[in-house]
Amino acid sequence: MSHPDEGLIHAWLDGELDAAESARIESLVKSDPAWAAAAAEARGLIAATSRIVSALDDVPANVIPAARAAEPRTDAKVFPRATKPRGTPWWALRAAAVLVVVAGTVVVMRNATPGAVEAGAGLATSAADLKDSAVAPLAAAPAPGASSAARPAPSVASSADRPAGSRVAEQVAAAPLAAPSRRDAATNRAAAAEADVARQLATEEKAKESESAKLPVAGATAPASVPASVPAAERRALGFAAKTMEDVSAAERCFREPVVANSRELGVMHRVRVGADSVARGAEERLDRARVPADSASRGVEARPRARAEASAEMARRVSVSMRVRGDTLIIVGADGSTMRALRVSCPSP
Amino acid sequence: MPVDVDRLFREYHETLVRYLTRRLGDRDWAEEVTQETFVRALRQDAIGNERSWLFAVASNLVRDEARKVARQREHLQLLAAEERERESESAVSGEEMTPERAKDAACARKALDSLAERDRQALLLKAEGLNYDEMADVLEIEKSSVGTTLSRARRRLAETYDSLRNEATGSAHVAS
Repeated sequence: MSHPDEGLIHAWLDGELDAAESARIESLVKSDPAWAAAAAEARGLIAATSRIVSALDDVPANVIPAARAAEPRTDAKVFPRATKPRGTPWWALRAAAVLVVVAGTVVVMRNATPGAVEAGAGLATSAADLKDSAVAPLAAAPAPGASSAARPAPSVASSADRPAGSRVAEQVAAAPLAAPSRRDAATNRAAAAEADVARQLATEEKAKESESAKLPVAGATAPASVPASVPAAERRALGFAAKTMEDVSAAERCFREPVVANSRELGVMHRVRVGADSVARGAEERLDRARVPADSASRGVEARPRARAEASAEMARRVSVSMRVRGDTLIIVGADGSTMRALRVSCPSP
Repeated sequence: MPVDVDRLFREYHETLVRYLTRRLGDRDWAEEVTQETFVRALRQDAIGNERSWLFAVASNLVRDEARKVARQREHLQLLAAEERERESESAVSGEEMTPERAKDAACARKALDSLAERDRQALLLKAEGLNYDEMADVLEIEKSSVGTTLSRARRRLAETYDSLRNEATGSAHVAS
């Protein structure tokens, strides 16, 4: 009677032994009570371990918001991002040209809020900050697609190089709202601005339809009212909270680059989504550097090297905005109504 | 022949994220490490055994970042507390993890964390379906040692988990 070799028994139960060795162990287990007992115990340990390891997949309660937690839990859905095809939202496939911030929104908001001029100045500063800080490291980040011959890596920085038909010819106009003295007032202003956006969009849609009836328009064109000088970089470091992962995916498609989303609504502290055009490191750097204060008076993005964890915590505290879609315009509204940016984006056809 | 990262991503992303989530206890962090792992793959001209290579790189990345764990956890705990507060303030109701499952998860995490790094890795790699050859590659041990490592790890995990569960049950009875 030999002393049972536990390692061997586990290897046997795991199916890792060759045929001869397997037959020898099987024979021992059948004939020797000590080996039989050891094998039985090993089976129990394997089963117990499997159960315990599976328990690790349970995320602590209350971190996942109700909307997601209510989804049926199946193995296939535990990691939805790994298996779920990234659907293309209808709006993301629309259209041609990029651009425009809703001039009407600017006008309305500036008329309504005396502090808007100062806020606008803050925005200009922030754009400059972006150009100086956030853009450089991102532009320097290597794009994985660039090393793959099969998949060229489009990026915002190289958007001018893309064919007009597939170019995201975006322009961003920002309509900062003055910091509200009261939450309700801010909410009302944001709602009013959004309504104004919707109205303007409807008007432009009509104009576009009548225009297209006259002339076939190829590719994207920017409305003349949109300053072409608005730095595309501004949206590169745009932090926002999406309501759903589809929102994030859609924004990524539009922006043709990764989107950093502070997403309390998604049940996580932050998500760094990395698209085909960038690398994880680049996105992390952006998270490091992008800081978007909710305070409209100092709105902007500051380059301030920080530890990643600190940056994400900062993002979680400071950035709490929602994103809505009207036609082909992405409207990003501060949760407290203090900020609002309307981005009109045209996505390339798939 | 360049590495087909698209295919690698499709085949291994899910299992890598699960492995790392179990290893790190943080899904977002796990996703970041997974992405970094694929970025490393992009830079390779060729990869021998893809699965063991990916798991080895992911494991190394985890090891490299281990020093950040404490600080990250502090932040995550802080944010999680804020999140709980926010959720409790909102009137939204939904399915929540039962106390029993939460207790299981907590004990499982504690039990796993109590293991030696190699034992822990061995268990999680096995759970992702790696064979002994692949595990030996990742763990940098002889194949003949994998069975012994696994048997030890399984026993310790099960015993520690049972002990923690008994403690939790005992304290619950005392409390009631």
